[in-house]
Amino acid sequence: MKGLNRRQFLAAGAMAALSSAAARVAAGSNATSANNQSLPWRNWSGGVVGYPEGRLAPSSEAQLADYLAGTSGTIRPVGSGHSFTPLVPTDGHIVVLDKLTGLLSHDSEKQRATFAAGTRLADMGMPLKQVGQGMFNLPDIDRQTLAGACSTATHGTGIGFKSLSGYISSLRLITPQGEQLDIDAQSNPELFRAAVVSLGALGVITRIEMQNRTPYRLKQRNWVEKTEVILSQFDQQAASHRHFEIIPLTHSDYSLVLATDETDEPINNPPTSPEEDAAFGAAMRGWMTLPPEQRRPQINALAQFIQPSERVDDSYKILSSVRANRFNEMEYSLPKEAGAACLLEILATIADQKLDVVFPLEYRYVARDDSMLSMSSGHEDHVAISVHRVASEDYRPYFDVIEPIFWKYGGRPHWGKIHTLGAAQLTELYPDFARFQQIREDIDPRGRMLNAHLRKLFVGDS
Amino acid sequence: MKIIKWISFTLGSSVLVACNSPSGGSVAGNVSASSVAQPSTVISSPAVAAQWAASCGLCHATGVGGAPRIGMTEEWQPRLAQGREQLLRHTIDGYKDMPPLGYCMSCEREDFVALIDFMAGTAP
Repeated sequence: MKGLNRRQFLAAGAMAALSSAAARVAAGSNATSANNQSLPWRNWSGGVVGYPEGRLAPSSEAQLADYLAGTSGTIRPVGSGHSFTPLVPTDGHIVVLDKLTGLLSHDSEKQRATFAAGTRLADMGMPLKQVGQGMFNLPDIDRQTLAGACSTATHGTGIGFKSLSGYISSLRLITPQGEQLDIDAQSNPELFRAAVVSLGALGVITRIEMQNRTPYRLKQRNWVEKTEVILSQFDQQAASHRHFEIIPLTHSDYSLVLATDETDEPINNPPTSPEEDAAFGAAMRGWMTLPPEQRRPQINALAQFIQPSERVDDSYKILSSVRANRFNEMEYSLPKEAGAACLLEILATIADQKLDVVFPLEYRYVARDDSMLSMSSGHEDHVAISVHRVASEDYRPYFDVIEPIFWKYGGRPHWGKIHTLGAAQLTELYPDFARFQQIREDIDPRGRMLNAHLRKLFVGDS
Repeated sequence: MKIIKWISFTLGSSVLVACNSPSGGSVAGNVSASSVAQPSTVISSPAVAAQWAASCGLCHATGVGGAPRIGMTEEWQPRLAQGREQLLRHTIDGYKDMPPLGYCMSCEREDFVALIDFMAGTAP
């Protein structure tokens, strides 16, 4: 195994798992349709299912506006289904933005570009590069739609970078009554602060103008470090790299570390070798079958084989990519000063309770912003800590143990990721929560944009 | 490639392989055979190609996550052998790493039939 690098280590694991894992029933897949005439809607992980009366896929903003003006039932907009919370399910209609895609216009002087709301993040990098622009930051999954990612305050990593919604310079909202509103921070600052992260509760966003910069290239370096050591250096490392994050391994003393910076170096982003991946995968099967309490020495030993590696590519190819394996996720954002203690308590809890989880965590800094509902809104920067469970497993026993730890440290749940909070708790976590509700009720007095989940979040219905 | 992707492959993978509900509760299982057994009624068109590029093509162009690639007959043959109804069920419900609805939230059953035919090379 000498000479194997980190990427081979990781890729090999996939091969091992795919050849040895037992079949399981995907969470939620045994739900049955209540309405055979209409296709069910499911999220990406398969854990959330809904049976809409119908789906509308408007080919123009005018068509959508006419529909909203002429109907009265419940409406929920849907992006690419990457949220793990039930933001979409409704027995009314879902509005699909698949036909509202692409770069609509750009302003070279201001370095801004307007995209149709249904554009996937994966489809933004190249057209932006062609007009001399690049996005400041990206979330790590590129299949999400622009509107879906912004509306849930989805983010990447970097102490100097806000959530994706923090780079919106203007947006167009079709209200529940079919009125078209063009909103920016100058013309209507309060509505703008509400709309940029609004969970589809204010209407349907149909286009978004993003503040960008010139295109750039990134160099990402990866290595392995003891978790306690890297946590002690985290602020310094985060300050000295454009992007910095760690991926703590469960039942291990180690984390994988990613540091990413701008570079002018030539592109060098080779794929892994399938043969070497397969060979190393055989070595990994052993510890994967061990009881949790026996894994630490095995994983720690294997971590020694992960050699540092690096890659260089266009920014959008480094920051964001497809996530091939489906999972469910819980993520909370908390003041960054509390991050290390929270992470260590989670890792200790996983070990102490012998939780059979092999999916690693994520630990990322996100800059503060001034929106009403971004998880990082307010006067302090945040750290986002994520726990995951593969989609084929029941995530509840694991997440039920971890979520109270997040509460203890004042965490705010990611809007698109699993949590159990409702209006009462959220009001305490967001200073502008009540103001957002006033704006929402003004725009949608009949609540046609609310499904059961949003009523729990915003109204307090159980 | 993003490290977390490989991590999710690796350390989350000992229980990775999922399957459809053995209880037969799949919603797509309610699809009548007639709706998927008449490829002659489906015509591949530029519209199908465009729909594919915006959804299925995200993974089936390069084989992300083991997805059978468009036009690669040898990769589609084992899937086709399971039956067209089963393929449609997997598409609607999701299967292994294939997300439900294959990123086409606006597709109806007949759209998925056309897209499968388009990728597998079985369109008339």
